[in-house]
Amino acid sequence: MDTTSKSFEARLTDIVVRIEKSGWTDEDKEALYAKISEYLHSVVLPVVLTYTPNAELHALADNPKASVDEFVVLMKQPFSDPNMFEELNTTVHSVLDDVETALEKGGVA
Amino acid sequence: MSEQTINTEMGSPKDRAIAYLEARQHGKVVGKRTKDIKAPVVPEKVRRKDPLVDTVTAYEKVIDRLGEKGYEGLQQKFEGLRSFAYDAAQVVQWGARAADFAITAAVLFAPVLYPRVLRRSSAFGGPWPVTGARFTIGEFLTRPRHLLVRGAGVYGMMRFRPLEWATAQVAKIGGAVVSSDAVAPIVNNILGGGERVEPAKAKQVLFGGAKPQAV
Repeated sequence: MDTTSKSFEARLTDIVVRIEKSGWTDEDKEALYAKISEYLHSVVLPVVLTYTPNAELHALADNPKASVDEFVVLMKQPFSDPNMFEELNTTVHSVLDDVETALEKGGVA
Repeated sequence: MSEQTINTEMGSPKDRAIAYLEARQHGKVVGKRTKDIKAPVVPEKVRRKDPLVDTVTAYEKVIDRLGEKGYEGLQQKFEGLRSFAYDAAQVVQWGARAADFAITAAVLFAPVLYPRVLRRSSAFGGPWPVTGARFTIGEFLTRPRHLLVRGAGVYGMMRFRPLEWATAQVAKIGGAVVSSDAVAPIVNNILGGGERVEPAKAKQVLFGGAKPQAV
């Protein structure tokens, strides 16, 4: 896993450059971007929610008068935990590992 | 469907690439594109956490309840996500730095503060050949053997600042994620219910609406 030499942003940019230069049709590129987006989304949310207070979230879900402010206060808690960032970083980099492998399987240099 | 099968049976390069990602995400290739965030490929630690399914459901319930107005409000609230995370990391790092200085001070002055304990200790060649209830700072600073041990400890602490270094690694990693212009929009959208974003808008979600350019 290439977690230390390059940032997530740099790796993602490299991937985009490779896709844009691939010669694929725009439709194919859009489909791949959609898949990458879906994959990233599917791994990020579970990590964030792992660090969110479960009881408070359920209480908010059961409260018909729940406000945006209450929700924001709740969701700021996982972002105060450095461990969440570390786990999130590892997880999203593993997704990029898979994307790079997928590009190789798709013949994208 | 195995990876080898994917390589041989899938037609276009795009199909092979997407099939591989499907296989990695869901553990199998699904014939029809599905979205099931309750069973994604996630770290083992997360997967073992049984209540997570209920948590995701509760989260979605809140998002649904807040509706479009809530979604927009959340987006605005989290525009400062990067600075918030940076501030949080800074506080943690300063706390660790203070802890390093506290330990360094303890290394420097511990014999003065706790002479009786150290006098009975054999750790530094004791019992110490000093009479009286307490040592003065001057006495300790002029004893070569003690000075060497203390000096090495102080140098090590101030040179490497281990707690601050360890914390900085975490903050650095966190910063790499949250301070990234690429990740912040993704996290923002997910927090606001973007998990159910339409595939056609995925590129916009990924890159904040800007068309990526080859460099």
